Amino acid sequence: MKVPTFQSLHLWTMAPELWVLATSIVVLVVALFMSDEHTLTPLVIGIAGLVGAFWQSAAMLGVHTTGFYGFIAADHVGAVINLVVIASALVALALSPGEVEHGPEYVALTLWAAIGMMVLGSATNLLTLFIGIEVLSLPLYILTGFHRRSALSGEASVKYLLLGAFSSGFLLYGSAFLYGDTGTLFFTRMAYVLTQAPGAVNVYLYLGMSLVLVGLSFKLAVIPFHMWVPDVYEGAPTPVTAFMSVGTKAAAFAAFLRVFLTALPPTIVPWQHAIWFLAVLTMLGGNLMALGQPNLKRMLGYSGIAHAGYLLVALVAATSRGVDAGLFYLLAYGAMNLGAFAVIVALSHGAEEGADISAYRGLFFRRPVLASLMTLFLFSLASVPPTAGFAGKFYILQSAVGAGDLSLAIVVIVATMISFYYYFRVIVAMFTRTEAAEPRAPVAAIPLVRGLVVASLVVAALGTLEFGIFPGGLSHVAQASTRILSGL
Amino acid sequence: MTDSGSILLTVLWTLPLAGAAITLLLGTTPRTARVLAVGFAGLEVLLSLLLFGGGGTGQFRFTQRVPWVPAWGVSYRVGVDGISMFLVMLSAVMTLFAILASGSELPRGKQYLALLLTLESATVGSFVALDLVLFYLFWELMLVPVYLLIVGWGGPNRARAGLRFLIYSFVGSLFMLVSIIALGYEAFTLHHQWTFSLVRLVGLPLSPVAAGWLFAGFAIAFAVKAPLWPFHGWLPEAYTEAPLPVAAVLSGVLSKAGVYGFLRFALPLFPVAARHFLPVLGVLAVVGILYGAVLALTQQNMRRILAFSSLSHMGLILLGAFAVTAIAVEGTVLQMVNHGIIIGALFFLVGMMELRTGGSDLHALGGLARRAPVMAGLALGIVLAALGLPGLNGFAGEFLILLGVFQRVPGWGWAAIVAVVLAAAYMIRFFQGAWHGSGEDRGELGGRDLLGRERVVLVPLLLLMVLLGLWPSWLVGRVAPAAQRVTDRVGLVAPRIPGRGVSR
Repeated sequence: MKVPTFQSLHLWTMAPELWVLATSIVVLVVALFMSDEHTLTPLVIGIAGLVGAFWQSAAMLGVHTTGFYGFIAADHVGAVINLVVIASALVALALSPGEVEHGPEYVALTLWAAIGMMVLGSATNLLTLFIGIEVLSLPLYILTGFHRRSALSGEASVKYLLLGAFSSGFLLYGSAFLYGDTGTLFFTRMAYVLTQAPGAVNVYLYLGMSLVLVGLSFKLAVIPFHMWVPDVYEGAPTPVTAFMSVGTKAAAFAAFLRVFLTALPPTIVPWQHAIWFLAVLTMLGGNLMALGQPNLKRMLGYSGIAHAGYLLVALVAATSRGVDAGLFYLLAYGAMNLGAFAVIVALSHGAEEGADISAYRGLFFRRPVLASLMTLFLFSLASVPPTAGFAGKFYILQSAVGAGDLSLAIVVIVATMISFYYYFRVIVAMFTRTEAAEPRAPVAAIPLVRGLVVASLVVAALGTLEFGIFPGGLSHVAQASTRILSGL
Repeated sequence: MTDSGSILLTVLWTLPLAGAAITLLLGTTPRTARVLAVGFAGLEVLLSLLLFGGGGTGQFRFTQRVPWVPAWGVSYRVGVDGISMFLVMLSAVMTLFAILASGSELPRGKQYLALLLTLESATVGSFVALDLVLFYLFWELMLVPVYLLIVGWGGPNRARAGLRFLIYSFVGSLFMLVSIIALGYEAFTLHHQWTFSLVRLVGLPLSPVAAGWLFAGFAIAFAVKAPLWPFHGWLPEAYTEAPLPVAAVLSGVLSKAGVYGFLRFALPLFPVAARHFLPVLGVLAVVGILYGAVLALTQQNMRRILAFSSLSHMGLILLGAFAVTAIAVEGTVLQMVNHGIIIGALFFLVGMMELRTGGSDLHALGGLARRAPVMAGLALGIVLAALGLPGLNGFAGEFLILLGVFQRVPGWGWAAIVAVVLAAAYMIRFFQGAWHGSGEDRGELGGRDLLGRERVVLVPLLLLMVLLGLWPSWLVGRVAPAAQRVTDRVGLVAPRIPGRGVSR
């Protein structure tokens, strides 16, 4: 065996993660010399660092190698996940002023969570997977409770912590079984062992797989492991909710892809029925529970559950088209969901009850531009063409049908039909004239803060339309992920 | 089909969209916004006349094909034949008149006009699309402007009406989406390549069971749009709550997209399944004809009378499509155009009457004829066209449809004739209730006869009715080859009626 050297680490494979880490340190160091606690300096540094990391991740699209002696994958899937995670962190930071006390520790915690998500998205073995999950979860527990004076926020934080700890336990226990059965932590090696030694496909493997599935399902918010979602989404500061709903989901989906397509190929370990069932449950349950929600953040929480179900459909297909569709859907979901949260933030500036649907009545007549943007994002979430949501849904349906699973495609359609009701309900409310001419809600006073919100909205809206009208360009970004499919 | 092709159709659907954007940006005063919108809609009408050129109408002309998302098998393909060219013109003409009929004093007028133009873009797009996914895109895009127009400018119950319209339509179209993707997959299993091009999918071998399901998916979407009884749940509210120019476009043009969908997609793609389902669909259409007619007779509100009369007439048009004999399909297309013009004119007329009488309940109206004699004269002409007086355009289309239906299933024909008689009854009731008798004017234009801007709407429409009534053959002659292709494709052998009395 060669003596490990610094070069053989291939540090560049972790460039985005390291870049973000360095940024977080700069943020903390700069904070030492700051006189005023409430300046925007740490936030701006954080945003600048994330933009750099975004650029680096984009350069890694299409690469296929590993680093850190094989512990980190530098591949296409990882790069796409990095892009989604960084984008959601960017939006979260941009939306924070006026919403939370955006001190240096807030910025650093956000950056660390993003690092965890990126590591999770590039994990090549169970150990990196677990490290990624923990690194992303710990800062998020704190961020969820960042509204220190709000009881809801505190409750959300504790709930998230307890259930998160539980899920980590499941994950670890399952990992132990998988390791015990196959004698390896590495996903590719695991698949190799399973193909070579059919005897390894035994009850311990299934036990380990089920426990890992439960652990990951908590993070992706798959029914029946979703109980924390509504409370956490409602209680957490809105930018944090936006970050979690997109970033965590992207990272967890990547973990699903790597565990179930690379390590446990469905041709050897028939897991498709189990996840098929979870997907159906998640899509229908998420949409049904979203129906009666009076609070927009809770509603988006349940709708996020439903969207996790659509992602699972892409996983169940277990084809390269399915992987592409899932990644494409993540990009689309990122744009439209972040956009919806950006609108919520833009509206709640200066007002506390921003997330109640009743507060959206007649919005179009008070804030026509914001209401139109919200309409765009909601139509996209409901997958109405020509938006990103439709293109993504179309691709997922195509992958499901292409894998010969028409029944699952029909469930997707039924779930989408249910979802129309609650998305459209908000749109109807926005276009319902109210009698009293309510005063316009005050817009954030500081130009930079306002500019950040506007920038988030513009980028999300452009993404939602661009991915919808010209999905061709983006499907190239999502493509070439075939290699994640284990040796098949 | 060439890769470059003609850009005329692309221009036709993008022009209104550009017009919408420009109206929004430059329409600083209500007046300039209106001038801009009228200008773009008028240009669209002129450009649509170019469709008369370009050779035989049995084939797709002015085609253009550009790869769009090759990885998904989705391409941008457009083209028109003898059926769709007239529908494109119809939507161009009716949008122009809808804009002309909308008062310039509307609140948020430029948004309203921009939405009408966007709607036109989507309708034209859906009439020219030859790729199923492209068609679906335009099909869905039609719904959003209509919805926004209903909730933004509609009557007191607009929120409910809008939500109903949205949910009905979107749920209906999702069935079609499944069918589209499944059909693409059938092509994929055969050619190892995804494709959604209509030209390549027609003639695809399908198992009877699969074809049946796929046909049903398409049929539901089209049945909701047309609407075919019993899929009309959204119709009465949407037609009554929508602003009247929008109701005119909705009933005049958008409903035709449903029938068009059957003729262009559902029947040619699945001829075997179609033969299986057509008897059922025909019965539903007959029920719709009678149901709509009876309800139209009992309504007290002018808007609702028109809503149900439209349901009844659309039933007849659908019946022609379901009969799939060459004559019936020709009649269907002719009647789509005729009905589009007539029902549009009726809705415009109701709008003008409401401005004078201040309401649309029949028992509150009356005596308008004395106070607005010119308007009454024009109204009589439109009503006569609506009830199918020979010499006006309603007659020719209905006649051809009935002829074709009698060839296929005489029973349907008899039922339809009953409805034609009922139509005369409710249209006369509609006319008499409002124009004769006694009543007072409570509207803002009370006591005034036809205004100049109203004349610009009603007179050309009436002229079109006369023109199409006296000389339908310039339309039917161009529709015939395309209609023949549809009927050949479905392949139902029609018993010949000796001496078919249509001049060609």
